[in-house]
Amino acid sequence: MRRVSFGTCAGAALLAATIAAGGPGVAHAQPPPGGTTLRVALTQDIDSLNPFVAVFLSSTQVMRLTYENLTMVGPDNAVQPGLAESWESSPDGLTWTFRIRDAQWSDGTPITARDVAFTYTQLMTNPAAQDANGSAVTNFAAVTAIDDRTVAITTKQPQASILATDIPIVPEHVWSSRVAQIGTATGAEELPVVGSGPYIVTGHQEGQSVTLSANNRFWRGRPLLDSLQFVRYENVDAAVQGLLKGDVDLVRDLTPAQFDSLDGNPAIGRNEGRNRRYTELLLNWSHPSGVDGQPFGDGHPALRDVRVRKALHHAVDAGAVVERVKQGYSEPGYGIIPPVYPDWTFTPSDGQRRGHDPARARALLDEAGYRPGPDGVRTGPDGRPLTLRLIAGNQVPTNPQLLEFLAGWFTAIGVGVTPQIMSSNQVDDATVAGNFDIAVSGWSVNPDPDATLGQQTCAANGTSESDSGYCNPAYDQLHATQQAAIDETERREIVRRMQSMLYDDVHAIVLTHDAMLEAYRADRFTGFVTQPEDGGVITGQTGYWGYYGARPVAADQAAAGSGGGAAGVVAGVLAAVVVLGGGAFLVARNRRRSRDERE
Amino acid sequence: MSELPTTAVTADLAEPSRRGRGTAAFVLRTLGGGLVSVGLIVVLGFFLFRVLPGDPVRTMTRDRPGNPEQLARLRAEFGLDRPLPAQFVDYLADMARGDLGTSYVYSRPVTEIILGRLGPTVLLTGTALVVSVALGLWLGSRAAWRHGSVFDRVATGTALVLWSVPTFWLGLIALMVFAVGLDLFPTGGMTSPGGVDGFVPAVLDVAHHLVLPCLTMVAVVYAQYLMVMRSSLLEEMAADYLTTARAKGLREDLVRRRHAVPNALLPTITIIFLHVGLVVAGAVTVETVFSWPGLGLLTYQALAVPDIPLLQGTLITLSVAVVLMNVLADLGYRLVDPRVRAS
Repeated sequence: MRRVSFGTCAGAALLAATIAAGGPGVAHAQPPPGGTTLRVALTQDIDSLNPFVAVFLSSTQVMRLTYENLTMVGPDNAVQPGLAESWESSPDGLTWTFRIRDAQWSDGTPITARDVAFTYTQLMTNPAAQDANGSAVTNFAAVTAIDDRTVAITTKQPQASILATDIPIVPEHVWSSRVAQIGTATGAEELPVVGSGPYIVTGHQEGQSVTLSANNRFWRGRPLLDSLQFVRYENVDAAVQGLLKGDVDLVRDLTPAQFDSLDGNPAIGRNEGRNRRYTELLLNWSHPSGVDGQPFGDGHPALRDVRVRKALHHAVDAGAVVERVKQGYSEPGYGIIPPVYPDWTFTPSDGQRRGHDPARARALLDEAGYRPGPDGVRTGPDGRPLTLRLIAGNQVPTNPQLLEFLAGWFTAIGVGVTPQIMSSNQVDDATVAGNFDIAVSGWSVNPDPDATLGQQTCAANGTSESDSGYCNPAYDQLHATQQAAIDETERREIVRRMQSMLYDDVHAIVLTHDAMLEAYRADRFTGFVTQPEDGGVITGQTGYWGYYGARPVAADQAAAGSGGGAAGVVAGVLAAVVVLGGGAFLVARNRRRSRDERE
Repeated sequence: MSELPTTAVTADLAEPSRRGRGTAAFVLRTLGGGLVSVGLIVVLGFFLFRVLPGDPVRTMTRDRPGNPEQLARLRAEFGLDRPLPAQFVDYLADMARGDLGTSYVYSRPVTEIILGRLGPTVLLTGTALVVSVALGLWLGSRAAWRHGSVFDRVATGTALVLWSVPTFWLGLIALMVFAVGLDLFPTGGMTSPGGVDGFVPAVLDVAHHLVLPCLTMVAVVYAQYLMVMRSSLLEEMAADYLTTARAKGLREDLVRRRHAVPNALLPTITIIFLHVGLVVAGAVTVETVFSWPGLGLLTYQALAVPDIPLLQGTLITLSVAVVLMNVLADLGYRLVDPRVRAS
């Protein structure tokens, strides 16, 4: 009978597998035999391989590998030529002329200015094509191919950020026949995909993996790997196990605990990448400023007083957040532009900077008229207790801990706090509607600061871009000026002044710039180019440098790097079992969603 | 007196047709009940997911600076700008045509996406169900037959411990021990990335990937079959017909297999069908741990957006499966057990 039940198991599995293998969804797109394949764990699904539709970070990564932009940013985050080899703007800053390089699509067809005009014109005129990138061309008046090699873009207003336009250019000869399905095509109907980037999509197993092969016609030269595979791992813990076993070669988005557990493993390389994200505490401004002149949201009125906001900032110890909440994988922040963009980032002057100073915080609250009550919570001039709701999303594993620290700091200065962890969607709903007091939030920042700065304008309030609900006409004025400032030095100064204004107004408390923790099989691959080159990230770049630079480790080196005793493995497994037993559930929920996965 | 036989004859004649009518009415009633349930699920599916926090359009635009016209266009495209009752009417009309709508995230018809993910889920849950039923019934009957023995205590204890363990935790442990530590199985997915050439290698590849998720699922659910089988067999064990069977000189094994177990199986059948729903629910967790590209994983991802049409689609698909199983259980039970038919 024992045999029967195990036999049943194996037999049933095999029978069922037979049915599945014959079913749909199993495309046979193998990497070339004997070639080198880098396997990357994807912890987010691919929403689409259609560049007009794809918005997930996972998908835009694949799009950047497959389709070259007109211009792009390099590993140093400075603008570089892409399909355009050179460009110039007219004296009024309204017309930009790009010279297209002599290059070919992956099928051998020449890349021309007409492909650029076709792509941009679709984005500007065809609503179905606008899902992913339509908003990037709203200021464009016309895009015309003057000849095969020259394309001109005319904008309605001068647009200083035009060279950072991150839009994949598609081949007209392929997409002109697909215009009717431009908003619904999966992008993988015909494989291999015709593209211009270093790797071309050659296989797609829905929900499981995407295979890309080296593009021999890539204008910078063929990449050093034969293929790249993005393999779906819903769970980062499982992906780390896959890395240890060798099922995948590169994993991102590790928690500090996962990252630390890989320390000392000779086969694994770790990368603590300085990232282009910031973590902030939103302080609700929405009540006084309103949307279109109408008050909105239910923020605590005390937050209208800049002294209260400053007091809250003085109460917070950013250094402790870095060391004790983020385990040191972070750096304190001041402005919303992360230090990985040194041209744009902001550091307050010595007299301007607000440090951790509870005494100063208490003094500010006293001055603002908030007197300590019998229960230690201050009461305002209007008799209303200074008790604030503090919300954070459950998608960031360290948020519960962060809230505990914050609650402690705020209580110490006499501010009552009701902390609450909720789903990231609930946090988004609350911040967009202005129904919160303090919220833990954060955004990814693009190489060009325009979009991030634009989130602090009055117009962003009540929209999905809404941040603190900040609204300051003087700031909006500066924002418009920098948009039109074609001279970069002048623009940098304006951007600095804008951030200084945000800092003085305490539009929010920018807490930290957190590192992206990545790990890879150092015994198999090397040469990953990070962005920025000095301590930056491999994955999630604005560009393809991380993957383009990767190359296999020579065979003899690989043999030396591998090999660990069986006893070590068993001990590791046991240790991991013990660790996991305690934290599996917590970690399980530590999936990053919503804002954290935003591009 | 002379009328008596007539009456008896009439009664005899009437008996089969009344029984036939009874069966037809029962079948109709069961099917009708199933249909009503499906109808309620369809209605519930619409309202349930609209209570979820999160704005799909916001998720769709991410933090790409979206201008108001574009957001309004997206809202119009998905009918989100219309009043709820109008959306509901549209939804019902679409549903009547078998159209489950278009996914916000994938920009493709929901039916198409669900059909693509149905196979893997049926494969995983089906295999796990077959294995756990076989294992549970066998262990359960053995445990009951020798109740109180070491075998009974170990088998029941183990099953209950596994039943109480969080699926997620168990899956990760299985992954660490069997996939990484012992290097026996892959760490995730249903096939090797990119797939494998050839039919037989492809089958073996899927089977290889299936083992760990299937084992995890079996470990967590087989206890319920074991316990039901054990208790219903315990009830039968005092029955006189077993004494008779033993008196005929049958071996203990045969007494158990031929006489006791078939009778004890009856309540188990219902349990098996009724628990198919729970097995499907378990698929959400197991598929998440092992990145199995099925409906459970799809539901989990859709919840985070929230991708309302996709959630409605998966809810309806999974619920219809459960309702269908319940209907089959009702009908099957009547077929198997004459006592139910008689009453």
